[in-house]
Amino acid sequence: MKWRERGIYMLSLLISILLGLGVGALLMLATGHDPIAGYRAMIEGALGDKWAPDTILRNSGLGNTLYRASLLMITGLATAVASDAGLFNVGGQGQMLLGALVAAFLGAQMTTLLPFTAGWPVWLITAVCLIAAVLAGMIFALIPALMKIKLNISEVVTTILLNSVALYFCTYMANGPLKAPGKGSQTAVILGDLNFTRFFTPSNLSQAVFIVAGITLLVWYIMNRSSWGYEMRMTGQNSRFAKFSGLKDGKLAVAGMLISGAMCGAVGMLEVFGWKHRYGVDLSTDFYWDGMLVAMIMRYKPLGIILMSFFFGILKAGAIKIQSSAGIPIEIIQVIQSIIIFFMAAEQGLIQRFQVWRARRHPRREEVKRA
Amino acid sequence: MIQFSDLVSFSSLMSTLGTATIVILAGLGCLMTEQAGMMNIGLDGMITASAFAAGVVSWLTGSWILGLLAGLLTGLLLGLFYAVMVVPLKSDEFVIGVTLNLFLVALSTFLYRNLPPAADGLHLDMGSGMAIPSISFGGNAGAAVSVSILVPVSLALVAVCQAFLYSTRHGFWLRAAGEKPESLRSVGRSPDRMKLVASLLCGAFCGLSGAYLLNYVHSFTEGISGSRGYVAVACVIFGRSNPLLVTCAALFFGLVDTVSTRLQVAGVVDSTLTAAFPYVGTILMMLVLAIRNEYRKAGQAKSALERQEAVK
Amino acid sequence: MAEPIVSFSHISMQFPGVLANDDVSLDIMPGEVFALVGENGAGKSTLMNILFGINTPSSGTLTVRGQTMKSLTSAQAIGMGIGMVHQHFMLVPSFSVAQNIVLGDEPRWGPFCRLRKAVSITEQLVAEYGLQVPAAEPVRNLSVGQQQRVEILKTLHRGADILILDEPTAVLTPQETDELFEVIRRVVRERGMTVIIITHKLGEVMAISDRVGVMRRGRLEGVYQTSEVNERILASLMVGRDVLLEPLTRKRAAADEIAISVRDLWAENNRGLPAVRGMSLDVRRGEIVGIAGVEGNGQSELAEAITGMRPILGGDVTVFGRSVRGMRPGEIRSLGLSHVPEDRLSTGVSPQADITDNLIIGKERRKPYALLGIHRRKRRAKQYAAGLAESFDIRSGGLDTAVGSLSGGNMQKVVLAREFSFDTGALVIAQPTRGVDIGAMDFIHQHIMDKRNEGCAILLISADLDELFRLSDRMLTIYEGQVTGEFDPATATREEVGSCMMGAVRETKPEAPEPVWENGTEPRSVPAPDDTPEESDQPEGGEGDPCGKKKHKKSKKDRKHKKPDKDKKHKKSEKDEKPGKKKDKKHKKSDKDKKHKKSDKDKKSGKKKDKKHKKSDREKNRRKSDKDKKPGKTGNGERGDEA
Repeated sequence: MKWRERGIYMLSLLISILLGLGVGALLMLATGHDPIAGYRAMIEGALGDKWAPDTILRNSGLGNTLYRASLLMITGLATAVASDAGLFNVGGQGQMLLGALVAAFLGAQMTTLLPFTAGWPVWLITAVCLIAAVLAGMIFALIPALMKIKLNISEVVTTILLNSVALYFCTYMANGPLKAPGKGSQTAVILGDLNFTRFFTPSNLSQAVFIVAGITLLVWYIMNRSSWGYEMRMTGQNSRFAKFSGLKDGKLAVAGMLISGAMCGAVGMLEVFGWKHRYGVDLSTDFYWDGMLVAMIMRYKPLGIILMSFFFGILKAGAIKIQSSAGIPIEIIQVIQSIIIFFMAAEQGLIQRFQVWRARRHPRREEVKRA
Repeated sequence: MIQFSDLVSFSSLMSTLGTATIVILAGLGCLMTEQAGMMNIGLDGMITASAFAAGVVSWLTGSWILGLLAGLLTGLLLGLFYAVMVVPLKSDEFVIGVTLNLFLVALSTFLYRNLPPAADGLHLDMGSGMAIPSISFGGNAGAAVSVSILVPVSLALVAVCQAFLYSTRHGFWLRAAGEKPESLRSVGRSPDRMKLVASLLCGAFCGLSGAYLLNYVHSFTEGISGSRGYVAVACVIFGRSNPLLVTCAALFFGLVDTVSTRLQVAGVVDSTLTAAFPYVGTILMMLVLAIRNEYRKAGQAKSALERQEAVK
Repeated sequence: MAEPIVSFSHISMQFPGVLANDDVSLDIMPGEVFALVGENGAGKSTLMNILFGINTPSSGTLTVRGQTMKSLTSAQAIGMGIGMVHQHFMLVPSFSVAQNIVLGDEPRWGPFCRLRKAVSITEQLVAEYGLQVPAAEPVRNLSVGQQQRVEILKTLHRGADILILDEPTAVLTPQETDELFEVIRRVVRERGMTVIIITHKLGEVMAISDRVGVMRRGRLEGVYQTSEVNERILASLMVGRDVLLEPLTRKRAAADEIAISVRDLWAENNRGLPAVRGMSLDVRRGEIVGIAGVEGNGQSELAEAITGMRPILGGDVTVFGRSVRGMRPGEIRSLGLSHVPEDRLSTGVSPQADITDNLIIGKERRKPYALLGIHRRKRRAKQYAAGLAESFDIRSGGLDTAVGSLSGGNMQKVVLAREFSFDTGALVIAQPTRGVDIGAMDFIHQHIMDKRNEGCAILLISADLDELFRLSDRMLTIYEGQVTGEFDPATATREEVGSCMMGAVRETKPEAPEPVWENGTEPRSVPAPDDTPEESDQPEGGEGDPCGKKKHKKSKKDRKHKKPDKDKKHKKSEKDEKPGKKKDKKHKKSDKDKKHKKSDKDKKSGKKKDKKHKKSDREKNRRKSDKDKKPGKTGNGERGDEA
């Protein structure tokens, strides 16, 4: 039974992807571009250019893809964790920004200004920054979580609003109190030692990917194999039942949200340490939406999220190449992604209608499956 | 030196109205779907797409009326899309809403980039065609303040919505569709149809909002809606989907926005921080309302008991 | 022969995965009251939903007033004069009564709705049909009985003369049920309306219908004249076998240790109104205390307050001596009190989770199922679940099926399996067999009795009087949050219990002397000054079982008396009838006490006869007035069942 369900699901996924790419191709044609060239550029950008002058450049695409995928994976999992516990964390952007800000600031300060920390080993400083970022994300997620649990205020709305608050706050900080002297809106640059080494430069892939893998594993373990995760899931599915069975449903739901916030905070730190090396107003966090949507269409299953993240990573990583090589504006990728999501979102409904239609035509004398 | 009169003056009020109208219109649309039982947060996308359509058409035809209509039509189509996805195809409202936001902004930008550039190589100033007429008020010292005619139109629309929802049959049906769809089915009416109507109305209002937005900011950019859609959603939640209350919320939001802008101009507080005020204010308002609700529930229960006794 | 007004011809209804109606052909005659009975899932509601246009049949045709069609819409059905009152009311809570009645067809002035006209229309209807409702009041403030009246008025307003009632009495008090039946009789008699009533309360079928159709597993088993059948026949047709719920063996009497003690308990319902108003009761180890009451009188809140799901506002509850005020459900469970909740879908299970997850909850951190309380050992958990599923006969497509897709009976077994396996000394069980088929019901009763025999203290709350009579050692009636009477199920009559469920209050009187009976077969109570006429109307001569017949006659008499008394405050009439019964009660109770005290062997032989007689009375009573048989669907949105 279950295999059949899964089979249908995989098939719909495949069809959605093909449809998305198809519509993308149509759009490209309609605006006078060549879809084949476009897609080829995308794949080159994502998986490597065979004719690039040297190995490094050749693999930079792959590096970018992996990097993008890892980001999506973690934001998707963050969404899934919160959703499993019954809360929607739409505030990943804000949590990321705060995490990034805190990490950047601390990272810069600890090596330069604070005398007693100047001599600390790199890994320690990195760890401290990571923890700080995680805490920042958690605290920021705590507010909407509490508002929901105690006062039943929709966490969807509060997290969305807090995103803007975080954005403005961080921008203000970067332009004001934490501003690095002489530079535009940004904090001080973190010293070279602290930066993660890059693989496949000039790609954005860095040691951050190990941290991502570690976080992913940890979260997967918590959700699937630990009692804690089980309890969170039960709370998310039916909080009244959870409370009835003795679980501290309020605390568990908040815990789920906190983990989600923590993950987002971590991502912020990784962006800074692995790529930008400082907090700047150009720090883009829009990929959070994509990660969130990936999680939704993969029905919050970790394995599915991971796989889909790779696919979307290819799309995203190839986007830049599409614009630079084939001259197609990068927004096309977002369009393609959205179409895939639309189809997957309607998948259940479409299949149900199909089933009803089929059952109408052939009423079978099925034994009532009840006891 | 800032004077109070700079902050709260006729011109500032007009300016508030001007910016709040965008949110009011979007909010009216959102509350329609909310009353019908669906939460449409894809307002940003709808507004952006409508603004884009309005811009293109008004640029092509030079007529703001046609531009406005184009915006409306786009909104209607999007409302239809939303209704089809959510009702018969049973997608998650939230997913559709967010995806619409991403999709429509991306699509608009994509198409925008593909438009032929203007003579000076820059992209087109699409807002030039959207010259919705405005009313001017002669202000102090010759500083005339003008406000688009859409502003009083939207306020009128608020009254229309209020009457619609609470005094007309179709309004009742729409509310019934959201509160208890079975009640409509039991009398032979279709709640799904009402949901479709609600979604179309939402689209229309967003279309109007988008067209007005283009007129307000004068040119189309990628981030034209500036997450105002989400603000509209917040207003709808405060106002508990009641048109009058939602408008008040939107006005409050606009007021804070205006005041903070003035403060910023006067160099009192940094711009970005003041820009956060409205959002913080929003959250605080939600808190206050929720806490007040808790207290109110206790009072209601007591009077409910009395009423029940009397009714028996 | 008259033409049928409605005719189903070879109707089949296929839903994904289940054939709800299987080639059903049925004629309904104009002006009759037709009862459609069957267990949950038999397809009764589905069939009627076809008539009302909610479902479109997969095959077959429908003929209404001579017009044949394959299907119709609700609007068409209404146009043809068909009206349906559903189990779950379809009223908009924030709209007023008048608004709801005219919904969809409002009196208008242009686009506007003329609310005042609606109110006057409503008031007209109220006057015409005698169904009292306040026209301008928002529906959410109305009682359930009133809301049902609004629903009926809704159909009448649309000119319905074919009225379909789906499990109408599931949410009514016995008095409201009588009122409803009066209305039905009136509209049929005075206006020639046709009424189709879907129910599984066989007593009601016997009371109100002209003909009855029995459905089972989607098929129509047969249609009968009500006068030619009785409840037993109907029951056996419904389940395809002779359903006789045998009395269960009760091993040993209750111990003395008080497990649950409730003292002057006060609790509120969800709307902030007091639901439990100063209740006190005790449950001892090894006894089942049954709480009988119509839904909405505080039982739900009582159960929730005891088990920590609802705050205790006044008084106290102690479990094994420890006060549970302010404790969370988990803590109370560790004190030794488990809970089988009233609403399994919302509180008893997680429908999305699989059977294993639902069974292991509460124990997931304990030794064999988790290492160090953190790491889950899924395999062990699954083994445990498999064992439980086996012993509780939980039938499903596998342990990893989602519990939400199980039938009502199996879902309930999951809840029971889990709560019973906490090995607690006390249990609060609420509505255990609501929406559960008879086979599972018997199984569940057996398990409850087993627990009792093991020494568990059980507080059993049920709207099913049969169940309570079958299982309880002691019965308490609850009305508007207070205990109104205490009964011994062995000797109480359904009428006594029923009247206390409706508000009559049993006062405790001192022990009566050993009574002497008139007919010579059984001792009878000494006539008291306020002896009511029925007592003297005992049948002359022993016709087989004088005691039984006496009861029978008495109950009919009670009913007759009740009807005119309806106009007066019903509490008063109850009080008039009480003294006679009470005396019977008193002597029976003293019998029981004596039995418990194991005194006088002579008396015992006499008692044995009494006991035997009483038992058969009880059976007769049970089968006759099945008024209080468990309601099928309640307003709790159980998706597992289809009526």
